[in-house]
Amino acid sequence: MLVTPKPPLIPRRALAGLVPPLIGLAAAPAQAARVFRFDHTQGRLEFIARHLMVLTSTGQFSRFACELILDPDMPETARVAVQVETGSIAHAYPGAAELLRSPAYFDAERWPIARFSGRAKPGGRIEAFELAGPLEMRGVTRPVTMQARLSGRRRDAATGAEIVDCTARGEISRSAFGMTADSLATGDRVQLAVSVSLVIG
Amino acid sequence: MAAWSVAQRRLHWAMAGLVAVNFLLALVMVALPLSALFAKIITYQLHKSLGLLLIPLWVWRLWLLARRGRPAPVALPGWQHGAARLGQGVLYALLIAVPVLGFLSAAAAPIGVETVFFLILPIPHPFAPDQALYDVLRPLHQGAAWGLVVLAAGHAAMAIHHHRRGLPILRLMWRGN
Repeated sequence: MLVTPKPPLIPRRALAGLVPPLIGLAAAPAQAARVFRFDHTQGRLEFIARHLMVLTSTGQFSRFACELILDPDMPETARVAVQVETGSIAHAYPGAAELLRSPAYFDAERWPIARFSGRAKPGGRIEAFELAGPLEMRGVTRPVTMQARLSGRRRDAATGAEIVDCTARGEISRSAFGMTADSLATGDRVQLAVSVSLVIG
Repeated sequence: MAAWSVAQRRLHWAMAGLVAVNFLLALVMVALPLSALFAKIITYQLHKSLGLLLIPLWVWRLWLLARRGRPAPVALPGWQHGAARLGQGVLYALLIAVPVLGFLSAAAAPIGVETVFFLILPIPHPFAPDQALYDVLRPLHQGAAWGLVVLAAGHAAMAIHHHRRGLPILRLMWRGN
């Protein structure tokens, strides 16, 4: 699914928590920077856990909203704000989603929303730039850095629109957010991965 | 050929043991709750590893059968002899079908967990997770596994039955003479 810089694609209410961090971004220096809004219907937000050091399992959040201010030619000016419904975890293994929503993990009933807001670090290139900022989850806020990249810039044959694939990957320590369950079976480091296709021109 | 070779007998009992242990492991791993995550992961990986081990053993066993043959058949009514040969043929087919279907089922499983032989050697899956394929392969693996265990139990029961009647079928496989 492609994301164009059009009017909001996600409900205003869902974006309520995202607006404050983005107000200060309106004065971003890059003239060509635009606001891209996307959610779970257009992009993917996954988390990947390691088990016994040799196995991996992947889950995803099926409800999230994201606002990205981006100049595809100047990714070092990018800003992002993400809001995730922690209760929207989806996992292919039966019962895993329920376990991950429980107090031992995301504690979705008590902490229904996780938030991340990040700014690009200086010195990034279009192939690889870093978005760093606070991640708030389970009532704990910790700094997180996402490795972002814009790739596959191309023109859609049917619409003529210019498209770029945007991905971001980062890693968190789950214990830093109070998630210490099953530490024998599941590693402490959990990868986060976001992917979306943006229509940039 | 007068008797099963030592290698043939050892392979027979080794595979019988592996099938029995792996079947019990399957029952346990499925029944374990996710709250026992460590035990669940270990039993799943052990089940997959033991299943994969059956494949080269099966090839070895067939190679030995082709090379060394089998002992002369004991005196049985024709229909019993025919039924035994048919049962053994189906057992051989299931002994390879069950682990292969299991491996393919693991590959197709939407959860996408890797297969790592005894948690040491990663075994690449031949294709990406596929829910539709998994929905076909998983019940096939399960059904074939139940078929294998039921048939193996019948095979064992008949061997004991013949042993009680004084026929040397079980003895030939156990002691070699």
